[in-house]
Amino acid sequence: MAKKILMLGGRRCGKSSILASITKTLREEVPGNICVFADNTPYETLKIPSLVNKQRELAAFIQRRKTTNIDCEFLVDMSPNITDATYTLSVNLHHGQSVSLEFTDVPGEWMRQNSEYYPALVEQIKDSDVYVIAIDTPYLMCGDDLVNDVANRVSEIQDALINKIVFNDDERHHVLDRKLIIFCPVKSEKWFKSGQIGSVVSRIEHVYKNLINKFAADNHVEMWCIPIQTAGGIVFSTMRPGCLLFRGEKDKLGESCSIDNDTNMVLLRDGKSIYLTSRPDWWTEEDADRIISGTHIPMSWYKCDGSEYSPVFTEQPAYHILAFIVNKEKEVVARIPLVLIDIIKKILHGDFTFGRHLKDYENLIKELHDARLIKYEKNGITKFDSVLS
Amino acid sequence: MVLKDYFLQKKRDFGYHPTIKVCMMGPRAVGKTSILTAIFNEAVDSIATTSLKMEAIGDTKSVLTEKQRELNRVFKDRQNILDRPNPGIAASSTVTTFDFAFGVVGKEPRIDLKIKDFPGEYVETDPITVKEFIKESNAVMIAIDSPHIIESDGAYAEVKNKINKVSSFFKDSVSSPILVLLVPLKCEKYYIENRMDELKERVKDAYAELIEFIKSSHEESVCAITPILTLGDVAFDSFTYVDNKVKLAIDGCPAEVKYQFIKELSKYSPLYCAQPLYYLLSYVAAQYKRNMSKRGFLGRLMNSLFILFANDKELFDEIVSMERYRQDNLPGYEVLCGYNNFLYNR
Repeated sequence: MAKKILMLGGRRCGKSSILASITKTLREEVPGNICVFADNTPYETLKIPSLVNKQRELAAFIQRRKTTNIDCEFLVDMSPNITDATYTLSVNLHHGQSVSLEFTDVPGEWMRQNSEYYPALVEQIKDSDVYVIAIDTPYLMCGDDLVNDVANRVSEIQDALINKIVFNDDERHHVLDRKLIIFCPVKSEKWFKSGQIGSVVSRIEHVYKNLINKFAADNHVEMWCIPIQTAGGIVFSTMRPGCLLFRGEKDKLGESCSIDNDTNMVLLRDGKSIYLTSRPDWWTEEDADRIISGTHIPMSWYKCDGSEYSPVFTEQPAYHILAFIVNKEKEVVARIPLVLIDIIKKILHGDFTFGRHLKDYENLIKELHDARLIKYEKNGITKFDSVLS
Repeated sequence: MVLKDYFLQKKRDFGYHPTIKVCMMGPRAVGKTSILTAIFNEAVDSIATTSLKMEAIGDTKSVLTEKQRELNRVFKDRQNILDRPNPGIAASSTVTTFDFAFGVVGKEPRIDLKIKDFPGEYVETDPITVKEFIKESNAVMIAIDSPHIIESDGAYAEVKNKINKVSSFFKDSVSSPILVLLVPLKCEKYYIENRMDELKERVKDAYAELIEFIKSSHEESVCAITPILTLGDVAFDSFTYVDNKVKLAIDGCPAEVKYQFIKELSKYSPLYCAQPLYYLLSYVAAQYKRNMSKRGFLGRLMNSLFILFANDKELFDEIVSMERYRQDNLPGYEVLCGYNNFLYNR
């Protein structure tokens, strides 16, 4: 039976882009003699955008940007998911055994407590073993507390995980309930390249302090911060209030843009810019879509750094998830005398992921560890296991 | 699942929830949603390192989340803060219920907290509803608009806070042990100017009749003054004057009340806001312990809290441990009667 991983995060923070980059890296960079990762999502029945298309969309976007003036700023606007989507990745050992990891990507709007989909989110939380909190790093680091709280849905996500994760009442069975929370700052190229990824971790400790402290001393829950570079070739530049540019009376929709306060130029999404004085029949308005919970969420502008689409560390969340699941099942099996009845129930329900092949996957984790492919420190990778003051 | 947990879960499935009930009263537009926002968020922060969890349920959470963001925006945008309460809003449209739940982290919440907010004039328009809820309540919080108690020598204390009406109403409604918290709000100015004791004495004078009634009503009742700073960096400035007189609305209250940011980098920084909640939990936990030692078997069964706490020692211990957060020596604080009712043999 597949293990369930829930992807949480604000609107357009890049949850599905994380998965796209994870699958690319796992498919291309894990040595084939160790294991092979594959995307087994049944796209034809689910009718959701494929991860490989998302990769191609991001890679093509970066390539296009490289052909324009490399110093200009632009908006990154990948097509967002409007419904929940479950992607299935399989881990295949060389002698044929495979296990499936189900990543459920829920839209950012589901995080709102008064959303009609909130009960569905609560059920997903209860059913999942792993939670990946995608954090838009530009909003985390450059937005004020209010903007960050709204854009990254901090209050909602903290509240949901603190209150909706439920463990077995019997302490002997706690090993069956262990959970993994991964704080995953994305779009963090700027902070990696400037050597400031540590400040991202510190900011996460401050913003998510309640969630971290609630579970830090709890043996049920393991928590990691694993920053990733989702694209590699584009770097956050600055934040500006969002507007809409209307090109005449017939333009009913408008185009996202910002005003450069220094030059009064209108900056367009593709990197071009114009002076409105040259087009008196055009005008700008505040973009009402940028207002969430009464708060104007500014737009993040990016620049190319000349690199190709080159995600970095995106395989780490998947490695940590796999290691967690293997270790959890190993602990359960080791406690058979105490939890026999529950283990029998789990076997009958197919809850054991690895079953008789557990030893093979333990060896897989050991190989990944020996090859130094799983990172446990440096580059912002941090385990949260003590209460923060 | 052990047998007792099975029956407890069945009770919850059939709609039975052990519930702590609180009646909140106070002038219209005194900021009761802001109060609960501050109470809830400060309480959640303070219990972050414990195994206790406090959850706002359903609409309450989204209301409080949006309210907190709205309050943060006031500071971020440096919006002008001008109270211009509209006396024309029908009281019947402003009764609000806030639902919370307590539990231990990793377990389903086991005890509900229901706070029902009645505007002060509701005691006239629908007294029966208010009386019925007070009779079922473990506590009553009376929100007090502090500037109207102190400024202009208290000339607007009665017309704003409806003190006499609330006091006489209580005499008809309270017959069993109860916790009454007098909660002065909007007292940042007096906190900064070290005048909280003056505020406390004014409150004691204004509510003397109510306080005396609570003292004499039941030996297990408690009455305390617990001021809170709901915003932190915003303080009362002045009433609006016209021709050297306070401009009044049709109900006799000052028509406009101005507030000001107290410093350049003012930010949303509520203070002492979780104290009313700590007082409530301490009182309820001590009341439970006292009742267990006094009542017979049937009496204990009648007490819904017995069913909860007797079967969840961990939750009870966590709630009792919050007693260490309750303070009675903060500026403007005083337990006026029934202090011993917070205590029990541990």
